Amino acid sequence: MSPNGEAHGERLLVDAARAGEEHALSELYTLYFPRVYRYILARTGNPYDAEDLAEEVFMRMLEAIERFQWREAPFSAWLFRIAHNAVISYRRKDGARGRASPLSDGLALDSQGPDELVENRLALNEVMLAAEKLPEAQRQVIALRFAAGLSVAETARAMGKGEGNVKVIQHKAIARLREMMGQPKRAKVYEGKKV
Amino acid sequence: MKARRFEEVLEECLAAQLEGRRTVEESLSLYPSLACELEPLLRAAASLSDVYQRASPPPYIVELGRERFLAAAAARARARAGVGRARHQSGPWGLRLWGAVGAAAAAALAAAAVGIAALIGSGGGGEEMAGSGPPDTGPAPAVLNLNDWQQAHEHLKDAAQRGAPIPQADLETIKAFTEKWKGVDPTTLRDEERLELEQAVRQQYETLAGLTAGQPGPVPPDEIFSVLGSTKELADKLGLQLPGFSPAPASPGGTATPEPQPSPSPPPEATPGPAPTPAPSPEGESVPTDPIFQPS
Repeated sequence: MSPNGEAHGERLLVDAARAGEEHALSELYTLYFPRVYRYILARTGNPYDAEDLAEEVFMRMLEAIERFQWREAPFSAWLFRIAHNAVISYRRKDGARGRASPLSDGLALDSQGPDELVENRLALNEVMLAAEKLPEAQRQVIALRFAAGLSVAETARAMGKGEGNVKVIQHKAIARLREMMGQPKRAKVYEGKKV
Repeated sequence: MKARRFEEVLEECLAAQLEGRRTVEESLSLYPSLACELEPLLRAAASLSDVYQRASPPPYIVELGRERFLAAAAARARARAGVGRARHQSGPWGLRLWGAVGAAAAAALAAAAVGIAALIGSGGGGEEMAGSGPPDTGPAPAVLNLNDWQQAHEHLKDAAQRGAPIPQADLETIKAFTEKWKGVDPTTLRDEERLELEQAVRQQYETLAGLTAGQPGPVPPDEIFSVLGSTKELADKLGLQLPGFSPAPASPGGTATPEPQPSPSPPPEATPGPAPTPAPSPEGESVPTDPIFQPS
C-alpha cells in the first residue's frame, strides 16, 4: 500500500476509534502496543515497567482520543508524546530514588532456541547500557526511530523538533552508540565498485 | 553544507533500510563517495533495529491489556450514554437547578424524576452526570460521587507538578474518599461504577506516590504515606494491580509502604499541536508541560 494509502487507512481507523468503535480501538491497540512497549523498554530498561507503562499509555490515550485532532501531527506522534511524558514522570520518581533498572530475565525476546535467546538478551543489554549514557535527546531519537519504528517526520512531531534537527541528533546518537559499543571507528575500507 | 548533505543521505539510507527496501550494501553502492562514513553507521543502525525489534511484550500481557483497554472503553461508552439520556430528560439546566427547587419540582417531570431523584438522594444535588452512573430505575447499592474527589485530586496533581505545598483539605478529601470505599463491598458495584472507581484509585495512587518523592509544605510526608497505604489497601480490595508496583525493600527512610513505581500520567486534556505545543526540554528530565497533561 502506498504511504498515502496507509495514512488514509490509519485516519479512518483513528476516526472510528474516536467514535468508540470497538474493532477500531482493538486494531489500534494491536498496531501500537508492541511499538509503545519497545519504546518504553528502550527508555526505561525495565520490561515490567514497560508492560505497565504501555498499558497506562493506552488508558491515557483512551481518555484523550476524543479530543485528538488531525492537524499536522500524525496520530503516532501524538501517541508517543503521551508515552514520552509517561516515561518522564516515571523517571522523575525512579531518579529520585536513585534506582537503576537493569534488564530483567523476564524480557521476552524473539529467539530460536536458548542459545539465541541468551545472545539476543546480551545484545539488547549492551545496547540498553550504552543508550543510558546518551544525552536525553539522542536517547529519545534512538528509541523513537529504532525501537518504536517511527519515521523522522513522526519522530520530529513527537519531540516537537524540526526534521533537520532530528537527523542531526540521529547521526550523533548512532555514531556515539557505535563508539560506546566498542566497534572500531572505521570498519573495513570500502572499495568502491562501479554500479 | 557537506555535513547537512551527509545527514540527509544517512537518513535516506536508514529509512530505506528500516523499511526493508534496501540493504546496507545497496545503499553503499548508491553513494560510493560517502561509503566510508556511511557503512559503520548503517551497520550500527541495522544492529540497533534488529536488537530492539526482537523485544516483544509477552502475548498474555498483550491480551490482558487489550481486555482491560476495551473494557474501559466500553465503560466509558456506557457512562456517556447514561449522561446523554439524563441530560435529555432533565432539560437544559442540569441537576443543580433541580437540587435547588427540590423534590416537588422534580416530581413535575415524572420520567426525569425517577433518575434524578436517585442521584440527588444518594450524594447531593448539583452533580455532573459524568461518573455518577446511569440514571436507571432502582437504587444502586453505591453511586459514585467523584466530583469532590476529582477536584481534590486535581489540586494534588497540580501541586505535585508545580512542586507546591499540598492543601491539607484536599488530602483530607482524598483520605475520606478512600476510607469510604474501603468500607464498600466492590461486588455490589455495577461494572461501569467499578471501572470508574478502579481508575480513580489508580490515578490517586500514582499521584500520591509521586508526592512521596519529596514534598514541600505543611503536610508531613507521614500523612501522605498513610493515605498512600490506605489507597493500596483499597486497590488490593478491588484486585487492582497497580502499575509498576513491586514489593521492593523500603527506602532507608524506613517507610511502611513499599516503594511504588507508578507511571502517573494525568489525563491528557488537549491535543498537542506541532508548533504551539510547548515541547518538554529534550535535554533534561523536566516536568512535562505538554497541554496533554494539563488539568482542565
